[in-house]
Amino acid sequence: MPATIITSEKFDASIPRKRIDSEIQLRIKAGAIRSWVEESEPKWTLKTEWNVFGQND
Amino acid sequence: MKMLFSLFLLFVLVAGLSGCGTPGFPKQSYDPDKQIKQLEDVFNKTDLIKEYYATNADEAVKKNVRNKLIDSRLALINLNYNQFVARFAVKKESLDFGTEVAQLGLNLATTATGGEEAKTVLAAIASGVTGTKLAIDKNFFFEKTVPVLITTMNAQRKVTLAPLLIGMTNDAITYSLSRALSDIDAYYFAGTFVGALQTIQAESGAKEAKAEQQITEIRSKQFVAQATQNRIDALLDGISKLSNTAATNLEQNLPVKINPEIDNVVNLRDPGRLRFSNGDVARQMLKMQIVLGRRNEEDLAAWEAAVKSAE
Repeated sequence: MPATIITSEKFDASIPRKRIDSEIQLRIKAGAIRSWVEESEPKWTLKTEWNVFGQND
Repeated sequence: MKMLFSLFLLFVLVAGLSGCGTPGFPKQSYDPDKQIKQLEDVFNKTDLIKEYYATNADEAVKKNVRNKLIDSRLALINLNYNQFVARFAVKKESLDFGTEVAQLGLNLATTATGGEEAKTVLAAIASGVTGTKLAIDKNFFFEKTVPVLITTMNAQRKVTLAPLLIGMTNDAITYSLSRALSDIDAYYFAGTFVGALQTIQAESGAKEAKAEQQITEIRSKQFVAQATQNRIDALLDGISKLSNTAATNLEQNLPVKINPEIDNVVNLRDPGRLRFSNGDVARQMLKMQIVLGRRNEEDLAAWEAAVKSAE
């Protein structure tokens, strides 16, 4: 059983970085372990790591 | 000149002597070498294994013989392990101190001596000592790893000791000698560098185990619009305020249809379905579903209405 789950989302390339940063903050607020931009071309790729319930908790 | 060489010899002597003793390890109240020898002698002479497998041996005798074997082997392994651990700690410490003192002595002699030739020779020796130490340091692969390996070995030895201690309370049918010998091997292996490395590798592998879920829908400008993000932010605040019952109820009766990819994330993240009974888990799952879910007007309005009525 995995210890964490990573979600990978693509955002339109025309979206300004500021809005992507706000998305990162929303994911952290929602309980993500961490969230980061992995690629910026040709689209923003936002990865977010989430804990698995029942694993080390 | 004579005095200088005497000084030099004194420093070299001090450097050599600094390698003696066991820094960080208090003297044992027994002689470990002697004890190991005595135990090995007893262990080698006994016919315990023959006694165990004797056809007429009753269960009580077998249990007694098996436990004697376990006891003696554990004692031997422990004595050897203590010496093994102490030896590695000593080698590095004495090496550092010894070379530092020798280097200090040579540098002092170089400064104090008059002749240029002698200075050159002594300086060359001093740099040789420093260089040797650096080379040893560089290649001393235990330098940073030894404490980690020892901690892992100690922890793993405790883990592998448990089946032996439990087994010893059982009869010889439930816990046979062959099983005991296998557990003893595991206990011994736990106290080796190879065993420790394997444990570290296995643990880090488990920690690194991650599942990844790609969400294929490309997020648009509308998805990240300031007004939309503000609504999501407000929904997250609303979810935080929900009681345990309200949160678990809302998780059981979601106001929107969840995308199958996000549903997969939900199931991977909460395989035990704790979200239906645990308020904390329910709140966290609801927040994730809101953040990752669709952000069209219909879905946002449905979430807002559901959270408001649940408050």
